[in-house]
Amino acid sequence: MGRIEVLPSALASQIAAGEVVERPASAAKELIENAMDAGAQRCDIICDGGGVTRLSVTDDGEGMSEEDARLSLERHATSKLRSIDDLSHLTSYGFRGEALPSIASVCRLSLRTRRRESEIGVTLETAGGTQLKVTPAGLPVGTTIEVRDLFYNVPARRKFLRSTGTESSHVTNTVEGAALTRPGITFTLTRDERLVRELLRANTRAERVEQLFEQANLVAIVGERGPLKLEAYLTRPERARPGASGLWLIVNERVVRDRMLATTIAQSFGSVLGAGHYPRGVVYIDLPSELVDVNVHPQKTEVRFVDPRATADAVYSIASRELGSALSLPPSPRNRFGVRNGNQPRTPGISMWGKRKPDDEPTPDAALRQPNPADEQVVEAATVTSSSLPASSIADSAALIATPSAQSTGLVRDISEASTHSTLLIRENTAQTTSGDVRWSSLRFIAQLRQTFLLCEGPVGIYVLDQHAAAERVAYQRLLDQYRSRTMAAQTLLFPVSVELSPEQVELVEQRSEEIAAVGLDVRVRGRQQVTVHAIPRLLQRASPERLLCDLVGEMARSGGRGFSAALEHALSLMACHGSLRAGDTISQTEAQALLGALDTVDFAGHCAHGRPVVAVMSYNELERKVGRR
Amino acid sequence: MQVVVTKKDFSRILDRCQGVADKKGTMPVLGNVLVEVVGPGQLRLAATDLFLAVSGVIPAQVDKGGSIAVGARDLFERVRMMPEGQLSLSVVDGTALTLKAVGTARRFTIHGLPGSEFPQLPKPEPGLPQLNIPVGTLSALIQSTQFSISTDDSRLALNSALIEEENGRLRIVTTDGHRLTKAEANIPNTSSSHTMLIPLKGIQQLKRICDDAMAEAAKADDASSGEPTLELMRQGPNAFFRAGSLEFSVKLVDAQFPPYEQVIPSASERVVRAPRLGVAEALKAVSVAASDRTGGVKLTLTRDTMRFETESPESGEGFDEVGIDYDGPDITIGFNAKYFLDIANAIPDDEILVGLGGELDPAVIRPAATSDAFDFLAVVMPMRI
Ligand SMILES: Nc1ncnc2c1ncn2[C@@H]1O[C@H](COP(=O)(O)OP(=O)(O)OP(=O)(O)O)[C@@H](O)[C@H]1O
Ligand SMILES: [Mg+2]
Repeated sequence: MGRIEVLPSALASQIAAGEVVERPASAAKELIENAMDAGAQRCDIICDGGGVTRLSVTDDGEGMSEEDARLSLERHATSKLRSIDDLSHLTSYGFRGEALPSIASVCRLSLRTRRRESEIGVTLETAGGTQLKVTPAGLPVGTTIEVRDLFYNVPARRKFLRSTGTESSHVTNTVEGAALTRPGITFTLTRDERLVRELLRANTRAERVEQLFEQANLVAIVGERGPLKLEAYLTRPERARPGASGLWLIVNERVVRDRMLATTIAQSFGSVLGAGHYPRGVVYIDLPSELVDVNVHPQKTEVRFVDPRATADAVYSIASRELGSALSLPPSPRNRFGVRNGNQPRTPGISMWGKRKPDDEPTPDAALRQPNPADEQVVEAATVTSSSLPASSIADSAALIATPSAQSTGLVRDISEASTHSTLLIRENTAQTTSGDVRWSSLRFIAQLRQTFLLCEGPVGIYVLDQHAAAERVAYQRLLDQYRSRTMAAQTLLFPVSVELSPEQVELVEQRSEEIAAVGLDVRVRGRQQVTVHAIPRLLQRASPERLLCDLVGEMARSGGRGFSAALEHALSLMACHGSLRAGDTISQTEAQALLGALDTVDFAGHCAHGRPVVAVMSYNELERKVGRR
Repeated sequence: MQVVVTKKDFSRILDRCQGVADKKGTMPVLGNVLVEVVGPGQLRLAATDLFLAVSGVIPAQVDKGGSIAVGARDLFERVRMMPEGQLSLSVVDGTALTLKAVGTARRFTIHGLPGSEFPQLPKPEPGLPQLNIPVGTLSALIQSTQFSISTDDSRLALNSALIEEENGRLRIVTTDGHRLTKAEANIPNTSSSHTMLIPLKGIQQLKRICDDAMAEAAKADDASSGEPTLELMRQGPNAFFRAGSLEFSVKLVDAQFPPYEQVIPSASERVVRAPRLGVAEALKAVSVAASDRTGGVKLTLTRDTMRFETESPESGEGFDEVGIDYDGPDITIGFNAKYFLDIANAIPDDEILVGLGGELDPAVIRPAATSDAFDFLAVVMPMRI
């Protein structure tokens, strides 16, 4: 690493400015990254009082000279970046020369460091950014930076900190994240005088993941596509949780938050994951640094892909293929990014591996974008099933649905197949059979198809309902009614179910106990990370109590205290989803007819609580045309 | 194959086989019944869904040996159409079974598979220790606990019945997580001990087998033979039951039954004695007006009365009461009417004891008269309404 120099101001201004230190964990992140940039083999972190009282990071890296140590506390002093060209080929975590001075300005900081070449080290002390003392000292090679009394001089910031427990669990998280990115470094974390993590240097990512996810029984997958490499360790679908908070995403050795990537990973599990559920685990994505921009977020927790679509495509195709074979999931082509515009032409010039249109700018990310033949199909399927198609496409899709394919056995099978990936609403242009004006109770239930669909006869055509969506809609409405009228019936459990949550979630459960009771869950806190569920809503008694609680807590956490009742209502919809008749459940004639009747009492209109259309209608006119009667 | 059997023998075993055969599964062969000659004068029928297996041997006049597997439902329906008397069965070309009512023109031919394609059923090793259980006892224990088995087949432990046997005591415990029933009875001197989890479908079949055996015995009307018994053997993951010539095996559920003893309250604050039928009728009546969405009923103990009330915005109100002896403070608890009713119906006594505690404490229901010969207890968790 070169000597520290102050950046030219033009360059400095091109670098995202912003707040670096928001809470102890963000300071920890910066300090640990500096240690990793300094080539440390070992990094010891101490966190007392949630990191507010004391946070210290010691490394055995290259250390600093006295002059560099002084400079390191100056704004935009960095040894890592000389010009804007360097910015797109970053290999170090730091590049702005902003972290240390920002941290120093809001705490009492001491920096102790020695370079291997120097016989003696130096200790620097600052308070609120003002240098107090510089003393030579005998020190081991490496650097220790200790932060005390964080925000002591900015009471407004201090007020925004959460409980000590919450802050220290964020610090723990940061350490774990760093440890996952760099398996070759030994990390220890001592929290309030207790050694809570000791992660000895590991040879592989797999080994490091194992150290952290001891008994989670993860599925390991690896694969690559073009320049992108994916390596992931994920929990099995049954251990998925609402919310992506247990899913580590590591892009080019940086922990990032990226909704699109998280969703892509969840979707590559196919339909086995419930809506809003994500696996826990770690996903490593490596791609050339010119294909991803890390300088978009002051805390570097977000990255920008040069071609996000192609990246997600590549991740999806690797992950779904590998997961599919690792978990023997049924193949589940899915519309991955919501409804795609059916008219959008695909660029034929880049449709083959390695080939490019001659006039194409040969960008390195083009290779990423190459769809493989299997993917091509996915796209077609997604196009067919989108409900917002222009009229001509409706005809096409209807045609496709009615054309018996090799393995399918006629109309019904085809409908169900098309509907697995997304949804389907066939509307006859002429007949007024939009599902909105039908009285569901007037339909005659004929049969259950594949334990998934309800086939019904109506006045102008046949109706095929997604049984789960219909049942869910009814359950949701009833839950909502009971919740709003404060008459939620709750069934007590013989065997209370113990659920493990994060300390923040437990805190939330404690704070919101009344609201939780109002939705029919009786939850008691048992420990810092443990609660027990003693009662669940009567209407959802077939659901797993753990799942219901996770749905609720997940929603509450997401709302972050704002719009709390909206969050509860949303949680109810998730709970309804998990507690209702599902695909695969058998339904009796009476139950089916009762369900149809109940649909009239709710505002069903052919859509589920998430707004998906869930009924397919085919008019007799259309049927007649298809069999050649017209 | 060429044999003659009586319709009565044949359909008795076929009944059991068709209950076990897996008609909806992914392996079509499991929807079949195996029909095979196993010795001079012996025809065997067998069916399995890979979890349960049943087989039975009946006397037959064998002209030619052989075997075939044919669809269980098809065979069952055709045999039912046959007049009482003798049936002749013959296999043509190895894959078709012709079924003929001897002495009449009625005849069916069913296409099937060679018997060799039918899976091998698990068999107990000879010499395993046996436990003899009177079928009447087992049937009664199942009868009084079966309804509280969870129908949710994703919860393996609750989707089955726990059978425990120790020192001459046989016990069945079932729970769906909201209520629990436990029944136990003495059985003839044993020194063994067993614990096993039998899946719901297995329990249902076992009940039928017991009831069949009892019906047979009643018909035989031979007082000297005593009560028929069922032999139980255990080996590896399977339990084997033998009743006469019928053999039934179950793959036991490998899961942990919840610690049920912990949730049975050792004593309830208030215990009242109530007429079983009166309670059952009142419950049945008021539950007509219970919200179909929750099925909740409110039970109140007040001076000399047990009161049942239902109330819901959509179905109005229902009310009834039953006279009891009670002079404690008023207590009100909510329940799922069906849970309570199932239990009231299962208790073989005219009077029941109902033990209640606080609003969220479990209720304990048992017969008023306790006996070692048959002991029953149910725990129901309340519902907050
Ligand atoms: N643990 C350490 N060991 C050796 N040198 C360090 C250490 N921590 C900081 N430095 C030096 O101090 C300089 C300033 O650090 P600082 O974190 O403020 O900026 P940076 O890492 O270059 O960029 P960024 O603001 O993006 O983190 C670094 O460039 C590095 O030379
Ligand atoms: Mg830095």
